[in-house]
Amino acid sequence: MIHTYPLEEIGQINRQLDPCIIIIFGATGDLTARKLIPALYNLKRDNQLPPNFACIGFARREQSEEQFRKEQREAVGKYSRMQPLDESVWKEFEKHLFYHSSEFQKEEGYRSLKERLAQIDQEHGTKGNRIYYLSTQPEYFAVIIQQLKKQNLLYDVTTVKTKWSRVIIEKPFGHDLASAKNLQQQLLSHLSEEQIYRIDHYLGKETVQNILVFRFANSIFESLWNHRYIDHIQITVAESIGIESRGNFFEKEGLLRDIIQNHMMQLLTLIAMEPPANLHADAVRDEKVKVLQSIRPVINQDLDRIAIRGQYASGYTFGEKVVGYREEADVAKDSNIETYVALKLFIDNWRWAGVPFYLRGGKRLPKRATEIAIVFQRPPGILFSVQEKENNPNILVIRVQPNEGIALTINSKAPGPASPIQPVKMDFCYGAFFGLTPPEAYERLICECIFGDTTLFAREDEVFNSWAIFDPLLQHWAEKKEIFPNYTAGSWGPKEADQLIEADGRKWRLL
Amino acid sequence: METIVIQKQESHPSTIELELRHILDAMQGTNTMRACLLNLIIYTKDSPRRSYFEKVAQKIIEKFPSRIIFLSEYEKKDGLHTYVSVLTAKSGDNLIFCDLITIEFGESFAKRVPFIILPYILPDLPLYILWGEDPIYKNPNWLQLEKFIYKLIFDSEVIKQLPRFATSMANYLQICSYKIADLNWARIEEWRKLLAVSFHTADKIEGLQQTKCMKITYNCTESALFSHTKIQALYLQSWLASRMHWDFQSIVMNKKNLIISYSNQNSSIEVILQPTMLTTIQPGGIFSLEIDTVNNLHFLFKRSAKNPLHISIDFSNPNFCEIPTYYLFSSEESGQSLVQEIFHRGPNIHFFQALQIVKQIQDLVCK
Repeated sequence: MIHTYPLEEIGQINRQLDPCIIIIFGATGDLTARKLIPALYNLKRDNQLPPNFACIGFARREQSEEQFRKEQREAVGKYSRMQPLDESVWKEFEKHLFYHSSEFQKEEGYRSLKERLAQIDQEHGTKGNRIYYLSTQPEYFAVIIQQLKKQNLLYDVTTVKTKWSRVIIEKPFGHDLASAKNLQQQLLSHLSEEQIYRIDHYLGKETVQNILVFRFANSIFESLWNHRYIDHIQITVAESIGIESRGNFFEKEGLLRDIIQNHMMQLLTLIAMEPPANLHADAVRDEKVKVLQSIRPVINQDLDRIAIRGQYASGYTFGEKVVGYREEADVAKDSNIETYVALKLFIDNWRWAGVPFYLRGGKRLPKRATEIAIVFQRPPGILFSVQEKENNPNILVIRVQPNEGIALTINSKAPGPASPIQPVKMDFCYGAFFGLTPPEAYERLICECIFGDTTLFAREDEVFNSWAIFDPLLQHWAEKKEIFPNYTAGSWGPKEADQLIEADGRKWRLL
Repeated sequence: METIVIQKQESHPSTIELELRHILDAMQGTNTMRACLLNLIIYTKDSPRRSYFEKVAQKIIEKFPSRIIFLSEYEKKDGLHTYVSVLTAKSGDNLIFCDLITIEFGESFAKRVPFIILPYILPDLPLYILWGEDPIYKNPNWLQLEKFIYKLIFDSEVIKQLPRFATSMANYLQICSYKIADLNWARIEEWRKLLAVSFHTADKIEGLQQTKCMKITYNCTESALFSHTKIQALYLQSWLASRMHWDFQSIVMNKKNLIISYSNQNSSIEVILQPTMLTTIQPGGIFSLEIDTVNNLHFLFKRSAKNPLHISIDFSNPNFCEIPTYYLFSSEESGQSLVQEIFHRGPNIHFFQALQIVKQIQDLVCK
C-alpha cells in the first residue's frame, strides 16, 4: 500500500484539527452543563482543541455572558472528570466562551448570531468553520436548521470548499421510523448527509471502541465468536438514578426510545458485526447496518413474549427512600410509559443462527452498570459433573461503565482433595492497567466532528433500520395499557422480565 | 494463620465500592493481594452469636477469600450504619485481603437492607448466605436477593419452633431454587464420613442392615449459643435410617432418653438417644455410637476421653473381637464445619432424606 502523506510516519496519528466555532443550541440545558462544557474544558486542558477555537451558547433564557460563564464554571467544577478545576485553564477557556440569547424560531436571533460569528472569526481566527450542536428538544431540530440555512450559516458542500459547517444532532433522531424519515428529509433539504453527525455518546466510550479491537485484534476470541460456541448474549444498561428532572421528556419518549433503540443497538451491532473491510466510517457502518437488517422482525403475536416493559414504584436506592415514577415531577399519575425494558432478539445470519440476544435496560435499578456478557455454551459434563448437574458456563464480560474492563469467568479446581469446581474470574481493568482516567465520550466525539470523521456517529440507514425493528413494538405498547408500576425501585426489574429469560432455561446475570 | 480487620470506616451505602477502592489504593505497594472466590452474606441479630459468626467469617476467608457482607440487626437500637473494611488473612509471606462490608441496622430499617446489598454482590461468583436466624422467618424484601442465592446455610440452633422446624424446612426445600444446608448437619459431617468409611464393604453394610439396637450418646450441656443439643444426634440417626431405608414407627421418652423405633423388613430397630454431660466436646456433639445387630455383631464408635478428636472403633461378635482401630476427626474449631459445608457442592439428597425422617418424628411428637 502506498502511504499518501510522505511526511507522516506510518502508525503515527497526526491529526490537525481545523479552527472552528461550536454553537450549542440549548446551552442552558442539563447536557451542556453536565457533559458538553466539561468536555470542551477537558479538551482544552489536554491541549486537544485547536488553538483558534470558540464556543457560543445559544438558548432562550436571557442572561449575560458573565452569568453564563459563571454557571458553566460551576458545572465544570462539579461534573468534570478532572478535579479540581484548574483556574488557569478555565481563565483561558472562558475567553473563548460566549452566550447568545434568542428564541429558536426567531429569525432575528440568527441574524444577530451571524454577525456575532463573523466578529468571533475576526477576533479568534476561526476561519468560518462551524459546528452546530443541537442539544434541544427534537421538535426544534428542523426549525433551527432552516433558520441557519436562511442566514447562509450552513454551507453547500458542493460549492464551498474553503470552510465547513457540520451539525451534531442529539438523540432521539425521530420518534419512530416515519418521524425519523421525515426529519431526515427536512435536514436534507438544507444539508447533505456528510454534514450530519448523529451523536450516540456510547460510541465515544473507550470501552465501546475497544470492542472492535478486542474482537478483531485477538484471534482466540474471534474464532469462538459464533453460534457454535456462544449460548447467548446479554446486554444490560442499568441506571440507579430515576428520570431526575426529565419528566416531560420521558413522558414522550420512554426507555425504549431513550436507551434501547440507540445505545443498546449500537452495542449489539458492534458485538455482532462481521469484520469490516477497513476502519473507514462507511466500511464499519455498512457492517453494522447488515446486523440490523438481519435482526428477525418481531411479529405482533410474539410481542408480549419477547418484550417486557416495566415502570418503577417507590423503593430504595442505596438505602435511601425514593419515589415511584408516577410521583416524579411532570409525570402523569396514570402514566403508561416504560422505565424498564427487557427484550429477546435473534440475528438471522450464519454467525448468530439460534443465539438469543437478551437486552435489558432500566431506571432505578440497583446500580449503574453497562455490560455485555457473552455466555458460552456449557462444557460437556462428562468428567466433572458428578455432583453438580452441569458446570458453570464461561462468561466473557465487557464492562462499558463503570470500572471499565473485561472479565472472563472460568472454572477452576478449588484446593484440596475434594476437588469441587469453583468459578473464578480473570479481570482486566482499564484504570488499573493504563492508569489513566479515560476521556469522556463527548470529548472524543467533539474531536471527531472537528476532524470530520463520521465513524463514531450513526448513519441514516442505521437509524432507520433500528426504528424499523422497534416500530411494531412501540405501536403495540401505545395501544396496550399495562398494570404499572410493576417493579420496586432498587430491584432488578419486574418478575416478568425474569420469566422472559427463564422460559429459555437461562437467567439474567447479576451485575 | 492470623486474621485481622483493618481500616474500618463508616461509609454511605452509595459509596461502599469507592471506599473499598480507597482502602485498596492505600495498600498498593505492600505485600498484599485482593482476592475473592465467592460472596458471603452473614446475617445475625444482636446476640452472643454475633461474635461467633465473626469468628466464622475469619475462618472462611482463610480458606476461601470472599467478599463478606455482615449484617447485624439490632432489636433495641434504631438507624442504619454502613462500614467498609478489609479482612486480612496472613499466611507466611502472603497477605491476602478480602472486602468486608458491615451493615448495622435497627428493625425499622430492615426492609432497606436488601436494596443496599444488591449492588454489592460480585457478579458471576456464587452467593452464599449464612443465615444466623430462623430461616422460616421471611422478610418479603429478601425476595430481591433470593433468586441470586447459590446456597443458604442456616443454623438450626436458633430455630424458635424446634418441633416444627423439619416440617417447615422440608417444605421450604421443595419450593426454593437454591441449596440449603444446616450447620448442625455440617457438624456431624465427620461422623457421617466415619460411618461411610467403616461400612464400606457389602458384608459390613449387610451387618448394619441387621441392626437391632443403636445407641447414640450426645453432650446435652447447653451454652449461650447451643440449646437444641439433641439435633445432631437426631440428624445422625435419621441419616442412617434414611440410607438404610428403615421405616419410622414410633417415638417415646424414657426418663431422659429418646427412644425411636423403626421397622426393617420383618424386624424392628430401636434407636436410643442418650444425653450425657460433657465438657470436652461442644454442646450437642456426639460422643459415641453403638450398634448391636440381630446376628450379635457389635460396633462401637467412641471418642477418646483425653482427645475427643480420636475415635476408637471396636468391632466384635460372639466368636472374636477385632483389635480396636482409630479414626481422626478434623478440628472442630468454630467455622470449620461451615467451611466444609461450603466445600460440599453436592445436591444435598442425603440431607433432604434425613430431614424427611426428622419430619416424621416431629409430626408424631406434635400430634
